[in-house]
Amino acid sequence: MRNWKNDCIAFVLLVVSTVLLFPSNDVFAQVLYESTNGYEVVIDDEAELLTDDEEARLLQSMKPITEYGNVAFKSVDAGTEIIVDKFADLYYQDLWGSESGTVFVIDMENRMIYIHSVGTVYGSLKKSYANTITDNVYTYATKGDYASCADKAYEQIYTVLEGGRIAQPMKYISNALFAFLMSFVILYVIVKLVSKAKRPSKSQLFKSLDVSQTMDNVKIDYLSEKRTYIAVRDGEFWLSIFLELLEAVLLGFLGGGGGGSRGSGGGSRGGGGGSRGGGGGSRGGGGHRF
Amino acid sequence: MYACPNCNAGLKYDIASGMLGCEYCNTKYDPYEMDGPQTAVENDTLEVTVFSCSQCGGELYTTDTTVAGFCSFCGSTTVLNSRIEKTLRPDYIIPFQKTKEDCKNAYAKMMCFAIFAPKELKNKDCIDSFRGIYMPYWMYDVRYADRVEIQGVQERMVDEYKVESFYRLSGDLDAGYKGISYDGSSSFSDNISEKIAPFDVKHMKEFTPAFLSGFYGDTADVASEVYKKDALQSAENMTVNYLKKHEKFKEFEIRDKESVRRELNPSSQDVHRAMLPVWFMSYRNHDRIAYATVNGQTGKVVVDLPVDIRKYLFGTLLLAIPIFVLMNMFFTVTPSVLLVLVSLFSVGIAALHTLEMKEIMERDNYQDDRGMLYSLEEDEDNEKDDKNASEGEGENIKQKKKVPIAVWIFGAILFYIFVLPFVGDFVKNMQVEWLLCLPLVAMLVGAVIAVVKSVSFMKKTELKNKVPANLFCLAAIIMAFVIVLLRPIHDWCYYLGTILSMGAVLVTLIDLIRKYNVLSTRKLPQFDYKGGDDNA
Repeated sequence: MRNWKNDCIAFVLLVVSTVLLFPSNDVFAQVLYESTNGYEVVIDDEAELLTDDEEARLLQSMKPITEYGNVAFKSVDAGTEIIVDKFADLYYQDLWGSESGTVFVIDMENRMIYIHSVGTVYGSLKKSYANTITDNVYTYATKGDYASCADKAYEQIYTVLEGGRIAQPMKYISNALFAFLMSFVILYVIVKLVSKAKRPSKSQLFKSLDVSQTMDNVKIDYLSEKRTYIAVRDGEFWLSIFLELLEAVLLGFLGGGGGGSRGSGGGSRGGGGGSRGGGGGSRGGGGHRF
Repeated sequence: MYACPNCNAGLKYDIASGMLGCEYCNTKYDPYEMDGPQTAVENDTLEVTVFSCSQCGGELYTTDTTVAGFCSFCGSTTVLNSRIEKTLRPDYIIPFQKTKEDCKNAYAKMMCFAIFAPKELKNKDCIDSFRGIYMPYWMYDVRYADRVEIQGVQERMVDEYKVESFYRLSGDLDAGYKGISYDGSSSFSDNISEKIAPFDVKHMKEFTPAFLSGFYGDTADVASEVYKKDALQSAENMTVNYLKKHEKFKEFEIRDKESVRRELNPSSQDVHRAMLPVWFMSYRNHDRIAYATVNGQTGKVVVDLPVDIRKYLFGTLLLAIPIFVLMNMFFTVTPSVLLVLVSLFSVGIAALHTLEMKEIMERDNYQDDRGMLYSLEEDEDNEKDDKNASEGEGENIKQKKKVPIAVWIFGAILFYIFVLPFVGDFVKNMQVEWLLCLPLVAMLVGAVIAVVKSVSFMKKTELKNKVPANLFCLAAIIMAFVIVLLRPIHDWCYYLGTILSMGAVLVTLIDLIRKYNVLSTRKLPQFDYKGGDDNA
């Protein structure tokens, strides 16, 4: 069991290392292909996982995706401390800003594969698909066949972008079972509600009785008065407290997701430097350990 | 038995006309005229034929020669013993206003919605077995006729000050309540009589035996003292409510309601015997029995509705299809998250199971049926009874102070919604994997509490030697916990864990339905008609 002090130190170190690792837009990646619509392909194999032949083969798998956006392959060497989802986001932004596209990252330090998408590509390749694709290809990475892993991943990414279907057998099996359980519980609640006969209300009981109620010689006598000082809290005050709480809760929800959607710049090519945190497009991804 | 003065055939009470009618010569007679002049002794007692069931001891009586072919309380069709007996004569009666056809229609309408009910509950023979029974009730009359003085407060804001003005509100109160009713038979469960209410006492008539002709009566065996306190409380509440809403008092706030209650001393309180009309039907399944009752005055239906498990599973499959389609459209989660979700689901089911066990324990120990409790306690020593009653009351008060399980569940849900996102975010940034187990630890604790509670409830029922089914949910969570701790790389480990967990949850769910069936039926009754005012 770690203690909190160590955790806090680890947290500070992580923040510092993240800042140091991704200081600016200084990414030196070689563009291997540029499509007619201006989208590019980058293979940045820092961990040297691929041979030249494999890179050439991979390039062929990546090219079709340029119909929809930029495509990158990035491998990170063991010994490099990164948080893969944040790394992928920053890496992509440094390459192409908020243009449409996707990057496939193999993180040898954390032994993770990760797909991050932006803009139009993210419109089709949401977190759920990124997770499914990485689920489908992680076994290649486990066996050390990184080329096939990336190759299959790009194939499936293209299939999804083309509107095709990719195999997700376990998803269907677990969803079917989960649906059955939910259905079981929903029916249970319905049965409970239907079978529960209501007790009569107080007014129904009152109406069923033979009641006579009168009050004569009514007198109202003033007795005393009491004044208490209280700080005035009007409706707006309590509303503002409530809104602050709500905001904190929502931030808690939205701020936690590496794969969740985040506001970003415009996704279309030529949109030109959509500022980070702006409205319009979205980005996100999903990954798997191997 | 009333013979028709015209043709000498048997007369029966005709619901539509409210008269005694002859089916042969179609003549109608006023019920009060048929009973003729009675002596003082006859005014207090009533000669009836009592049928008692040799299996459950339940008793029904009739004033005519009708033979009771089966027992309404346990469903037994063995020959009922009959004897002539004098019973105390009720003061009032509400005659049946709904015919058997009305009753059957109301029941059929209700059963349209009971799609999972066993088919036996819907078959013709079962529906035809509805029997018109006059149930004995205690009718309490309470009157407050005195001057009352209560304190009223008016509150207003002046700048930053709250100003409270206190007033004495007084007046000559005259409030009378006639017909606060509680059933006086242990064979008629309080939880049915409370739901089948109300009976409109304004249509109550002075009792005459002719009204019973063609129907049965249940014998009263619960003393009027049992519900006296409840009746007074009810009258007090209505009076306090009247005072609060009185046109001259309503601009004042009455804060101290207890002081108002202290002001109210009943100037008179009476209790009367009354017979109220109920259509009654029982459905027996092995050693359990379910009752269907229809208010013979208003037509309100109260039914114990067990579930046919085969029908239920078929319905579950049908509903699962659209849910499955929707989930595939909008719901994709990673295997590890799925495992945690199923665990969360398991805790919910374990808690539901515990709640159901609690209800079964209360039902089997007649905690919701004071009439039956009174009947059971009658055999014991009175002094001991009093002691138990006071201890029982003490326990009830203690139980009320306990935080209900629903509050715990609600608290846990709030925790998951509001706290975990922050923790999750923190964990994500820290990359501290062991903290991911936190929600599972919480679920584990929740499931352990649920199982322990279930065992404690089951100890007080006939299920005391059985294993609580929510133990399977606990096993599912432990398995999920181990998998999350081991963090295997391969997805199949998570999926296998998820599928096994779901299987365990399914076992609990099926048991939940079985327990629901236990809850929606009753133990076969065992009556002992030794006590009560009937023999007093």
